[in-house]
Amino acid sequence: MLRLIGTRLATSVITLFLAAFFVFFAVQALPGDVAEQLLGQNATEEAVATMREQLGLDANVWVRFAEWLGGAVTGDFGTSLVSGESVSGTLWTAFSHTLLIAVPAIVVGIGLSLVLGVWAGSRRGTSTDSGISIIALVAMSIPEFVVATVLILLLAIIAPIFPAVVLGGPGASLSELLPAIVLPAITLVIAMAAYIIRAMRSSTIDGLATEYATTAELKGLTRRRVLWRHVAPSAILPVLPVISINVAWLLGGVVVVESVFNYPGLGKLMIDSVSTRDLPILQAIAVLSALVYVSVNLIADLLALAADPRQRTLHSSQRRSRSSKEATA
Amino acid sequence: MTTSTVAAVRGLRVSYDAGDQRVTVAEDIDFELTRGRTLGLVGESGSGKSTVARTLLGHLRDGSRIDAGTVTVFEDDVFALAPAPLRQLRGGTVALVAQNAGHALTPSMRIGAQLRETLDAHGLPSGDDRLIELLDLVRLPSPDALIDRYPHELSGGQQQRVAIAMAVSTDPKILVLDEPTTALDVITQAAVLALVNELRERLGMAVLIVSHDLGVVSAVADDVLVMRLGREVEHGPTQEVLNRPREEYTRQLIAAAPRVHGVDIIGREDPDADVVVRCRDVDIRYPRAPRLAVSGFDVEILRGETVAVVGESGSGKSTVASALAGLADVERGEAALWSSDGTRHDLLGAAARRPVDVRRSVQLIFQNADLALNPRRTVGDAIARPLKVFGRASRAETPAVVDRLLTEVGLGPEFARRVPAQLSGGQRQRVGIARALAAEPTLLIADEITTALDVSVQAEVLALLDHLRESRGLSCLFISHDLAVVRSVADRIVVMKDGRIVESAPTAVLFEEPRHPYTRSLLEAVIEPGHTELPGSDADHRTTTLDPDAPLIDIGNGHRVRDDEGALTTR
Repeated sequence: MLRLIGTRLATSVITLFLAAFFVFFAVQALPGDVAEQLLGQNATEEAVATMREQLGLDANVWVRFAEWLGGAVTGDFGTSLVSGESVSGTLWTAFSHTLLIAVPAIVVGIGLSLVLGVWAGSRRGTSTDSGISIIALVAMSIPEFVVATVLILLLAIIAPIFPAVVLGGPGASLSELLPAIVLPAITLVIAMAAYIIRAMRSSTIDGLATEYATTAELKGLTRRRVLWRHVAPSAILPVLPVISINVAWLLGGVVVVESVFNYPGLGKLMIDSVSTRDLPILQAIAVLSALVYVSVNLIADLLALAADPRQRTLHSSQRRSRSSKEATA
Repeated sequence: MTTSTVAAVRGLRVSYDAGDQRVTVAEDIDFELTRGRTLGLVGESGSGKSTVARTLLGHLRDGSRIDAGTVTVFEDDVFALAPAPLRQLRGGTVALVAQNAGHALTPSMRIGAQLRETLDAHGLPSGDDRLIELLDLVRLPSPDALIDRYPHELSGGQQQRVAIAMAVSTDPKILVLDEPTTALDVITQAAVLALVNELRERLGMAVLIVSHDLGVVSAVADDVLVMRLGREVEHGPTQEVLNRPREEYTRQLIAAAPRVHGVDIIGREDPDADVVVRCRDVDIRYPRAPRLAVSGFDVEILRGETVAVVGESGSGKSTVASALAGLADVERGEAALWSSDGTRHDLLGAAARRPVDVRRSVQLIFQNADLALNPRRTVGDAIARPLKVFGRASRAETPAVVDRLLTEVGLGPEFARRVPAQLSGGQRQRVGIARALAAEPTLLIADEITTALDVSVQAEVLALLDHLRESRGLSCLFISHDLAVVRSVADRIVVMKDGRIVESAPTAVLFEEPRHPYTRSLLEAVIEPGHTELPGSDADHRTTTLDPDAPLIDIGNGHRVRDDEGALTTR
């Protein structure tokens, strides 16, 4: 069990390292380097060379990778080319703003979707089920910028309850941001709920068809208890990867939603940095996204271990049955 | 209804929706359950026996409904009950033990929690002491530790005992057992059935046992109801039905049941035949497993000979099969195959690294034909594949060869265009055999190929295999947990336990003079039609322990026995 967690942690670290490696060298491979961008197209060769020397860009690429990686591990991603401020400071402000809309969206979104999914699955074929399924399907097919726009129209313009956009920019205080997080959070919940609801619904249907669910029902248990105590814990297993992908997508900065609401989060920072070609910030965002994806997947795996006692002990026999299945195929 | 009658099923008809028509699963079923007596419901798959049994708990599969008739438990019409009394009936008055406890216990809940919730649901005391008492009742070892275990940490027999403990925990008046021992080995089966009998007497229950196995029914049931395609074929006292069957179908069922006693053994020793496979001292270990899965395995298979490897689950018999097929790595030892021209090939190492000709010479048939065939490919494609891979037929000849192979396994050319979903279990297994034959193998490895089949189909598949062995001079390694099945097909039998060979002998010798205590307890535990009593219920205590250093000793006649305690001294 401990060894298993250890292995998963080690692979996560390697994944992160590889992500950092590819990000760094992809940026190196781009035409033009930081010095050229800073000085513009009309700069002389000498000026560029001097700038490179100042920035330490003339050193060997591996040495620079090692220095950048060393800085990144301690949270130092250098300074922004545009604002001249530290990258990590800017990044952290934007990320904490994203967290401010993402965390409530995740908590409410996952909780609600799981309950709705189980509910729909347990009433398969009824109007409750078709209602939930149709709404989920519709929510899935409408792009989130449309959802966001409709929400602004309804709740900010027709009934001016929440602010439509954030005017404060990156320096906005918490009290300025709080009323503004509601609409983006609702948009995110709508965007991700559909996938989780559908996955949980079909997983619940499969769970209710198992022999252990029938046995539990024929023990004289109430349907509610069969559903929540016997079916749901195992039914959530196949849904965990769907949840983790959605969560990672949310935390990685939801570019479109943040743009619509002019919300100063990670996605907005990324768009701004792309348009100003602020490479140090882009590198840092890429590494942060990788970190988020890796950690969320790690958490999902650990949750799967917690939810399924078989995974804790049966690793060797699973391998065995898999290999015999492969042989069969 | 007399006073001792606890349940009555009258004129029952059940049907379900299939597209726009209704399919009848059971029709005109009548029976009564009486306190302290056991009724056996016998039939092959698709006979509707489980459906009928589960109506006693007011349960129907989705889409099914009762068209006619009633199910009465005590005074109540089960299907007219309101939800609350129905829940009291389920698990309270009528309890169910399902076929495969491995699937019937919730994987995410501890044993103790599952037992406790049954008691709680029926308002009974559910303290730890009561749970321990229940686990004691079904003779599970160290119950206090078991409470905290998860189902997957128990063996199949232990899981079935937990399921029985859960069913009897509420002192039900009626116990419904749906194929309770199908997933168990013979020794555990004897112990579980003895336990059910004992509990029936002690708790005064009425028992309904559903089984495809006439032996099981013969040994535990007072009355038997034979079903076929949803209808009653014959109903009466067990001994009368089994000894003097009135219906042709019952006679066929009895004839198809595999037996250990009173069947001729085809003794066809041909000492001059050349050796096809020889294994010496083979050790097999699964990657990073602390224990060897198989240790010191020895076998010699002659041309045209069938050698059976028998043992319970976990004995390593299937591991031997996968190692010879190149699907498991051999850690130590020798294994060799001789082709007809006398060349020796190594049978060690993974299939992917073997020369094509060796791969072709060893073919495996799997237990579960549904999983072994690609559901999206036609039968013809499946059989044509080895023909192409091993270059046994040109593109133009392929369809003709496929047709010939299909005819040879008794199916006929028209099957080539079907997909596996359109075939029955027995037909799929025949396709599996045809696919193996397409490679023109020297050695056929059959891994539990009849376990998933009905007895009558099993008998046909075994006959086919025997015919092929003769007509093609095939050697066969036949893996099975069932001594009765093995008896009719094997020339020699190897008995395995805990990864080691305990005894190996020609079939007749093994059945007449079993020497190892484990072989003897296996033989004694077999139940077959005509048995009126269960083999000794002390199967629990009769555990055979193996001495890790004991050698296999040759006692002549090709009979070898492992020198464990009691193997060579007593008889």
